[in-house]
Amino acid sequence: MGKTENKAAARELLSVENLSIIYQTEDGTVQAVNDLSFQMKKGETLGLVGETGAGKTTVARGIMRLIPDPPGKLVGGRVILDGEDIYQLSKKQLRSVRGKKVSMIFQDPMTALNPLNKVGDQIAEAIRLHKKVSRAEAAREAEKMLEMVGIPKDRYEDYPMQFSGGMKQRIVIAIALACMPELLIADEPTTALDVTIQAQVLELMNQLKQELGTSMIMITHDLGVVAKMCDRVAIVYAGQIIEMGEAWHIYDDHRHPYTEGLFNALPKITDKGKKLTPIPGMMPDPTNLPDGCAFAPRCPYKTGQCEKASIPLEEVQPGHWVRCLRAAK
Amino acid sequence: MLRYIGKRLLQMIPVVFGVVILVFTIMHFTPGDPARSILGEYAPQEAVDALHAEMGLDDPFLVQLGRYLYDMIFHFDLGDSYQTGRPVSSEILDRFPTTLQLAGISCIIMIVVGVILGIISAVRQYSLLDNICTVGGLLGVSTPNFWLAMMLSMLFALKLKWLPATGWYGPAYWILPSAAVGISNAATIMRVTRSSMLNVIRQDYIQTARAKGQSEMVVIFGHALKNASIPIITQVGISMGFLLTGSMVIEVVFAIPGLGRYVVEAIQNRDYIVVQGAVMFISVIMSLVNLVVDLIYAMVDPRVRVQYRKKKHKREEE
Repeated sequence: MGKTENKAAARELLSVENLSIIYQTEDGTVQAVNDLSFQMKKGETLGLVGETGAGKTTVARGIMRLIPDPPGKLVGGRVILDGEDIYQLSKKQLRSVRGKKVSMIFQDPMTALNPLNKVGDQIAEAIRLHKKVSRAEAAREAEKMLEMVGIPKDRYEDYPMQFSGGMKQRIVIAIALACMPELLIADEPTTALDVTIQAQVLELMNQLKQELGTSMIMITHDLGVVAKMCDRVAIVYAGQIIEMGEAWHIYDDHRHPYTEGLFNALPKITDKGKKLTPIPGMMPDPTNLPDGCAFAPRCPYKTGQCEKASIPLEEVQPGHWVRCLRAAK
Repeated sequence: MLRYIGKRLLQMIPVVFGVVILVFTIMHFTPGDPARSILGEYAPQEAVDALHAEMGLDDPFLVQLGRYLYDMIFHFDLGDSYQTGRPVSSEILDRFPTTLQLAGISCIIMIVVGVILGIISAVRQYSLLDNICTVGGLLGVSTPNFWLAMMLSMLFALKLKWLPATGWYGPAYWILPSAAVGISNAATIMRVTRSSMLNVIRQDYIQTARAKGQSEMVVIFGHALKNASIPIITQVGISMGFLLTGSMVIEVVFAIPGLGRYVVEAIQNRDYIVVQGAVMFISVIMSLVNLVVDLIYAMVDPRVRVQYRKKKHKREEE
């Protein structure tokens, strides 16, 4: 490893290269993630947007090497985090990366905490795994984390059942941030929460991210959340990125028909009384993906060309990538 | 918590009374005359009648029941064995430690074997080992323990002559009976552990623990097993009941001088008063085991603990 490569790695925190993940089920092989690549710089927030079943969560778990195997399996690609290839690490090395360099907030706070352990101990557990501190010191740090996410420290001894959904998600966030990871993967952190709590939790995450300088991958199907949180956005469809760029690229200058469809499906306050425009059709069967563009069957602009061969992701303007023949023209 | 224990102990009283009355009634109306069985088949009818009257068996049913309950409550007297004339209570207490010992050793075998195999087959689901455990578990559940006992006895005692076949005089004598009882009950524990663990290891909080960087050992034994333990504890409680009572047949097979064999002999000899006393004693033991199981729930699971507290608060509000 040359010095120049190390320098490049210092700027680039995460590089996902040609990631392909499958699930082997009784009904066939589900191609959950197909040759998916993206890079992230330090301090950046990337939004992964897509509908249910697009493969967003699988990408997130793939980065943590938390794909349940069986049935899941990595069939190709690499994940380079801070210069280390996650899939080449020994189990022990992997444990020192998980929680320390990268941690994850799961979708449903109701089930993400161990119901039998005190919440404070669950935070302290993460601290003790990565720092050589005594039990008492870890407990003190855990108390600090609780206060940081806005929960009084005298609730250390309480159990998850004694907290509301929003507060549980705060605790999950406290666990994830306990060791100041460089990358935080948030898998639909607000989906299970009601709207007022959503705003609070997002606000908290934004604030902590700025305080701690954490980079973040925000997985969501909510374009509103993306607008609030993300610097860059990648739109995921059938396990592939179909459009990626700066947030303003996606909001003001989207080129892919699927992205267009997503925005058309959003209710607008100015269009009161009009019907929403859903995207017709369904996502393709992931056990049997089409050869060409995965979106072609639902696309209003499709031509014969679209279904022939897979479409490459091309840069249509600096930093703005689109996987569509129309956009490339 | 103490209040809860007190309440549960009070609740045991009607249960035990119910059992005593039920058993007494059934025994009373079962054909066969204790006086006849004491004196033997060829005793003259006058002698039998005289003994019958002397034992109070001519009195009306309710009088007999009342007398039995009165002695039980105020003198801790369960009557004297028809067969030996010794007090039933001391006969039971003499034999119970042996049964308890057998149950204890079997219970340890059952938990260790059952839980470990259950965990392995859940963590390595669909592996060869899992398949072996699953089939073995099915066989274990459907094999009667007395048959297993006889097979073990034939192999290790008669054929290989490694271990004694009968008696209860020291550790070497404990192995075969405890193994027979423990292994056949371990199958049930294994099945419960496996299904409970399979359910738990798919939960999000297990992923959370892994995402923290926790080692697989701690994830499985610390986080998963603890959460999977409630159904396992329930099953251990039920099996413990069987171990304390259902090892009767095993005690006969291995000629162990425990409570179980005593009851079987009493039934054969129509020694009703012994059967009554023993059944009552067993029902008390079962109730205590249930209480202990419930207390262990509360120790493991804060959600159960809260329920106990809630009940207490409610009562105070009233």
